[in-house]
Amino acid sequence: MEIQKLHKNRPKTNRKTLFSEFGILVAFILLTIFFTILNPKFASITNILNMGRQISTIGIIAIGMTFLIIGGNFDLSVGSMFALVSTISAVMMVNGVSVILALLLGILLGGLLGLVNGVLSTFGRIPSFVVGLGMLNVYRGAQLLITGAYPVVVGWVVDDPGIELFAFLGKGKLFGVIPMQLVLLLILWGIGYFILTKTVFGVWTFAVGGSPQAAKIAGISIGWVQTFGFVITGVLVAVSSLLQLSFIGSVSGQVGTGYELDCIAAVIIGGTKLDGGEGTLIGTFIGAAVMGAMRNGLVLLNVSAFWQTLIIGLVIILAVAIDKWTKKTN
Amino acid sequence: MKTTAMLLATVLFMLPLVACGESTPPPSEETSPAAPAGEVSQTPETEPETEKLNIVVSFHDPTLPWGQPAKTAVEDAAKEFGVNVDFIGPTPTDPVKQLEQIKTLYEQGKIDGLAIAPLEDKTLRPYIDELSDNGIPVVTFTTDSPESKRLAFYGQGFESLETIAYELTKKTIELLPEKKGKVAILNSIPDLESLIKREEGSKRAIAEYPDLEYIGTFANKADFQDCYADVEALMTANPDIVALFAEDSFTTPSAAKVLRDMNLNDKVKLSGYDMTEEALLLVRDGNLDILVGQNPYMQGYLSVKALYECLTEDIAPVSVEVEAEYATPQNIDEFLQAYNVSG
Repeated sequence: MEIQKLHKNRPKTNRKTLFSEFGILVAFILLTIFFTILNPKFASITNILNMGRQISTIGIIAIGMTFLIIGGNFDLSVGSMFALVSTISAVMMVNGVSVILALLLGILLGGLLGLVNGVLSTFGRIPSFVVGLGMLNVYRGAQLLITGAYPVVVGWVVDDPGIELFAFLGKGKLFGVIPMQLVLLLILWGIGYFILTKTVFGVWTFAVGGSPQAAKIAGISIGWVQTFGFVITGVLVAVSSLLQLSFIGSVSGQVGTGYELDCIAAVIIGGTKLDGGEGTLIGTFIGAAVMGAMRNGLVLLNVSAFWQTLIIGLVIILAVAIDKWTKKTN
Repeated sequence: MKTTAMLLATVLFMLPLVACGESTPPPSEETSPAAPAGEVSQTPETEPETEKLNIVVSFHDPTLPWGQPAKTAVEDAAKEFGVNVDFIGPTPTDPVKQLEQIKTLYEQGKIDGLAIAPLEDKTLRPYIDELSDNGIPVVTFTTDSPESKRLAFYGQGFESLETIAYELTKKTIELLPEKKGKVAILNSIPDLESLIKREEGSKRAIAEYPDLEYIGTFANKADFQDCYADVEALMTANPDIVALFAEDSFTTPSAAKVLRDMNLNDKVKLSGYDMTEEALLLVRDGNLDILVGQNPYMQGYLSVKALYECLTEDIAPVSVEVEAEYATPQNIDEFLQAYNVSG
């Protein structure tokens, strides 16, 4: 009975939900208009597709982070996890392991790392913020120990039947036009959207983040729901990191630094509440698009690197402010 | 149950510490100094263990791609001279953290000699002087602290960095059929002193060509993906760019790949730094026109050698201006061989 009530009251994807994202959408549209007026190339098909590809790295991880934050958690280790997964997969590839196997093992590793974070945060009762801070260093340290800080180059691995598929996923274009990274972002976003809004797991995620006590009374296993959120994030981190490995062709000791903050920023800009229980993947997608548009637009305007850093910070605050003001008005 | 869980957790957390302790190999016959000829070798129980010198090599950031040859050199030198070497540095680059790391090791008595690539002269100079005053020999490499009490420098000094950048930029501009159009500089760590010097050199060269328009410095994040995205956006916004001058080993391969992926190699000239495996292969494939290497291997090796000789034979270190190397598609084979790169 309790579960039915939760299901009935879950945030629905309809005009109301779309309207609730109006604020951040307004911010995105204003940004787009602003940059297009100053440089019409911003709105060119080529640039839009490039932007789509550019935001896919953070966008894919942000899907998982949305689940986590709605469910009442964070994962600050995603950047280091990103580095560790791509490093291990890269090392396997250059040492003769089949590319396909290296990819599958990388994804499995991502899920396992997510599971470790999840178990520590839930059953271990360590706040997820603390687990993330600790594991951020553990995964980064492990990556550096494996490589000795030497970059691993896979861009010239050729003798493997899986290399073409690997290259296509990271660098290829669907119909010769749409970057595969963007295609995969949209597919994964669609799957995430379905899970969050159409399945019982989605209901449980909102319940656990919104009111853990009520969720417990309703018979939901808080620990497993939250842990699964970490596993989803881990798998998505792995997918994102392997796509980047394909695209860039190498992995260095610095890769992934700061990604956790970019992800969280995209999710929060998108309207997901920091303390859990509320949020949408539509918002996250727009949030990632806002950040990508900012970065891309400022470079197109030839704005100096120092100004870019300052302006991006200000626009993030403004985007969230517009969202809050719009919600308050509604 | 709770007590058992706590005990298990404690044991699990102690395991990495035990593993770290065991990972330091005990001195072996290969690394210990050999007994002089004619002496009877003693049994392990009675033979006094020769204490190895502890040389600390502090780099900008040990994870940076351009530091890897120096790290290899330091490891090779450690084996050759039979010394302990710690290759350290802050991640990411931070002069204060660099200072704190060295201080910590010194206060633990773990520094017999220091080779340092100072991130910022003003921050590190007082401590270099303090170590020197306390009898610790200090040499610098890659970046210098010329006013300090360091004994020698191995690399190209700031003036040389600026000059090398000036010459590299000029060589690149000379590859252009017409010396006119837009140009841009790419710098992933714009507050690093050595990269500031390179940028100054590039700007000085650009200024000598009145028909070239310098539109700015871009790609300011030490991340390959972000550098790629920034250069891609730059080229989309400015299809009339005729040359790019990349100042470091993040922007160099990233820019080369953008030009390759956008089929602009014939139209846009690109110069860059640091002979990483990837950069050398990009030169080979025609995606990068001129690549400069500052021979970090030799810088790292000479630093350790100088400190060893100073500590054991009282030989005063002497500065060496390590020559820069230039790789182009015409001479790339010799560099691929020298750096043992195949791809």
